[in-house]
Amino acid sequence: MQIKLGYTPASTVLKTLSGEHRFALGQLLTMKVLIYYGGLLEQQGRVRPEMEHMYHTLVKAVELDPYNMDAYYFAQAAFTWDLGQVKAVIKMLKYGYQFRSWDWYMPFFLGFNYAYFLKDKKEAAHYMQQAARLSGSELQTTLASRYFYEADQTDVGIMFLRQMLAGAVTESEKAIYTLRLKALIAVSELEQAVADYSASRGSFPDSLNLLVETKFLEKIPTDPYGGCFYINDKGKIHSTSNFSSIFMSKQNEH
Amino acid sequence: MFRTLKLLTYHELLRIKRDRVFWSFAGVALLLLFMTPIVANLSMRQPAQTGFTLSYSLVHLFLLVLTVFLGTQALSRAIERRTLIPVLTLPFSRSQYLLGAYLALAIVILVCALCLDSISLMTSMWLAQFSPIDAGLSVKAMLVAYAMGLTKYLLLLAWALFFSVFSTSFFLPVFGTLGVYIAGSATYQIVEYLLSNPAEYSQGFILLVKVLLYILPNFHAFDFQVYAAYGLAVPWMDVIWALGYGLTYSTVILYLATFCFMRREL
Amino acid sequence: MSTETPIVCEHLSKSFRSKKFKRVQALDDVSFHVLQGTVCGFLGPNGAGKSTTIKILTHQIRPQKGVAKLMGLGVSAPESRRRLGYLPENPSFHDTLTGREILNFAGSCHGIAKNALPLAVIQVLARLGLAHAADRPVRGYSKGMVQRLGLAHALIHDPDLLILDEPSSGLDPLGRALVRDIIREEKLRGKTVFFSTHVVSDVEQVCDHVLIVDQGRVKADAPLIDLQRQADEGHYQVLVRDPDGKTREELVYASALHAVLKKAEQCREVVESVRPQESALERVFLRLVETKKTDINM
Ligand SMILES: Nc1ncnc2c1ncn2[C@@H]1O[C@H](COP(=O)(O)OP(=O)(O)OP(=O)(O)O)[C@@H](O)[C@H]1O
Ligand SMILES: [Mg+2]
Repeated sequence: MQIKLGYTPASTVLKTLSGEHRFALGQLLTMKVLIYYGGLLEQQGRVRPEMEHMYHTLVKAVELDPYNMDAYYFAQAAFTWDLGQVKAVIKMLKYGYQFRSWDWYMPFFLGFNYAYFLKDKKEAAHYMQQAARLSGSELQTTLASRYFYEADQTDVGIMFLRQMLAGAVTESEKAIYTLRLKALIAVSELEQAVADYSASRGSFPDSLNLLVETKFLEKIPTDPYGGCFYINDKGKIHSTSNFSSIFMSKQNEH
Repeated sequence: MFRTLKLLTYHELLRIKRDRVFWSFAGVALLLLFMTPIVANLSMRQPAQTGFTLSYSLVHLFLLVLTVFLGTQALSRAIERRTLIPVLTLPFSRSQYLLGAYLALAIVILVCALCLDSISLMTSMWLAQFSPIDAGLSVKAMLVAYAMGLTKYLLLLAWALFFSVFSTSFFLPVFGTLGVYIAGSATYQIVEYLLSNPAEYSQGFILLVKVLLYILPNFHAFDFQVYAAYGLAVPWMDVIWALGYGLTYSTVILYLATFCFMRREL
Repeated sequence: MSTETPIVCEHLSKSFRSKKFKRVQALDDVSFHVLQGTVCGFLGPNGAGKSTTIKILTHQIRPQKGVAKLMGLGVSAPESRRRLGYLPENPSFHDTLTGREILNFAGSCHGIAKNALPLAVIQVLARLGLAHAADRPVRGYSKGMVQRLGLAHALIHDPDLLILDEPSSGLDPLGRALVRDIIREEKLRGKTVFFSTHVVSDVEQVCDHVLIVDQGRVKADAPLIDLQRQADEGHYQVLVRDPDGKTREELVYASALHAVLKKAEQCREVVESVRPQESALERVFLRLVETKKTDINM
């Protein structure tokens, strides 16, 4: 099967010509990307994703309908973790937040991206406070006030994924979040073991097997993305899958 | 006067009721409309919004086809087939005939819009149940959006009759009406693009461009979808302004159409 | 019934653009009246301007010059058509509607009361022999049936003035006879009838007045009898049988007819039939429009 996103004309042209149909068109463009992405997932990384193209199609979609939540939500879900386009996503979210000013998801995503990917805790707290105010939920308040200054990266990720999982409706959405949540929990477990190890031995373990041998860890958890966990010389936990269902095979080749 | 209008309207309605092309268009529109929930369910976060915008688009695409088809057929095809001669030599004036035809077509478009819009409304509300977050659809704003969409097509219908008055072939009326539709849909964006830097232009120029925009006409003024879909506060002044604009504009075009029709030779 | 002259045309001129800069003069200063209670036949060769005149009278087209009035009202007033029954040349109706629906509409537009309408429609349909097809869509009508429906459309409201453009075109002999009967009946009921035709014998059979146009000009506007008197000598076809039983055909001038008949009697021959070769009116007509033919030959 040939998976192609195809061509979409410039957004000014689209916007001018579509008239009253621009909202429907924006939605259809978003769906086109969703369906394309679904196809990519099924291909298990055998196809090179047209990343630029997906991003630009989404940008067109939100230019046609700046309120389209699907586009922002999908950009957040797909471009940050799997495709590593955090800056582009932040730009898009900031644009959307001007319109969806009532929607706590927008500052929540922004705050998370600043905290988790860019490690900018100040910006993160700024957005998380807004998310907390908009949502009025306790969890958000907790996140805003404390978590971003105290918790480490992996815990922030787990927090975020739990939150997203709680709000997920479709099965595919749930599956994506569950998968990543499992991976992060495994990473968290490994990081805890590494921390315990280095606290008692004063150095990082050379390999993860050493953790099991020295009984700091019962067994090495499996990577739900199908890769193998390893530890780098800075004591960080990685996986050969790179935690991505799309880039998996490419990593495996290395 | 009213009796004649009523009769003419009834006559046109009877004719359209028998029109197979009309019914097949309506059938296709209904079928597609009932399929929108399936597509809308692909949406992750806003099935109700998707349902609304897709069905809104579909309904209005159908209204466009209907307006162009009926509006151009009513006169130019009747003139071409000379079926207008026995009708127009009855004891009423051509302006009455034109008004009667407009009313009949407006009624058909109104009834179609009512049926399809209510389906669109119901499917959107039904889809709202599955929305992960508060769907935010506003029924009041949806009704406003539907009503203003209809107003727009009643205006376009006046244009269709206007073009139809001049011609015996379908070419001018069909493409003329479509041309007005495309121009009317595009002008707002073009003006917005042109005037993105208002400081660069003189006040007079900006005013001129805006006047031209409304003459062309400006169909953007009738688009209230976004308020309906995302539950934004309806700008009532804009609604009233658009209603007045649509009404005045249609009247002027109908008057021009009558003026030309009175002078036309059969 | 109004005492106004039903049809008045004064100095009507109408030209059409045929090619880019060329114009066809369809009517050139046409004036005539049709008086109350008369049946006026409107004769002229193809392209003479008959339909153009009738279209001006029914306000389908406007003359460049001149005034046309129906029932004393300028034709641009819709009220001028209130007592008019009009049959267009080759009428055509919305073909998805049935005959009854079309007549219902026309009848109510002419102000027939709702409770009287069904009867009026049935009567006029029966009068034109269309009762069996009343509820069929016009799409399924034959050419003659559409013509009959057109006549019914003109007659539905019992008008005081009938303007018929080639009423018997497309009709079978029965239909033609029916049209003649209808015209006679309407005349007896005091109505005015103005109809165009190519069939001279129809005019001779039903008209009191004849209007002949050619090339957009009025060539004759006179009572039928006056025109017939103007006719020059015609031919007669005489069929005689001699005593042996053989039949023989002779073509003779009217002036010689008497002598021929006498001679036959003397020879003891039997005169089977004497038939005029063409009608008096036809000869007048041909003489009046003759000039055109020479034009074409040149
Ligand atoms: N719409 C028109 N455009 C151009 N020329 C026209 C038009 N209508 C009529 N004519 C011209 O005007 C002249 C008179 O036409 P008209 O139809 O009145 O003839 P007519 O007497 O009814 O002929 P017929 O017996 O064939 O019906 C013709 O030369 C015709 O070519
Ligand atoms: Mg004619």
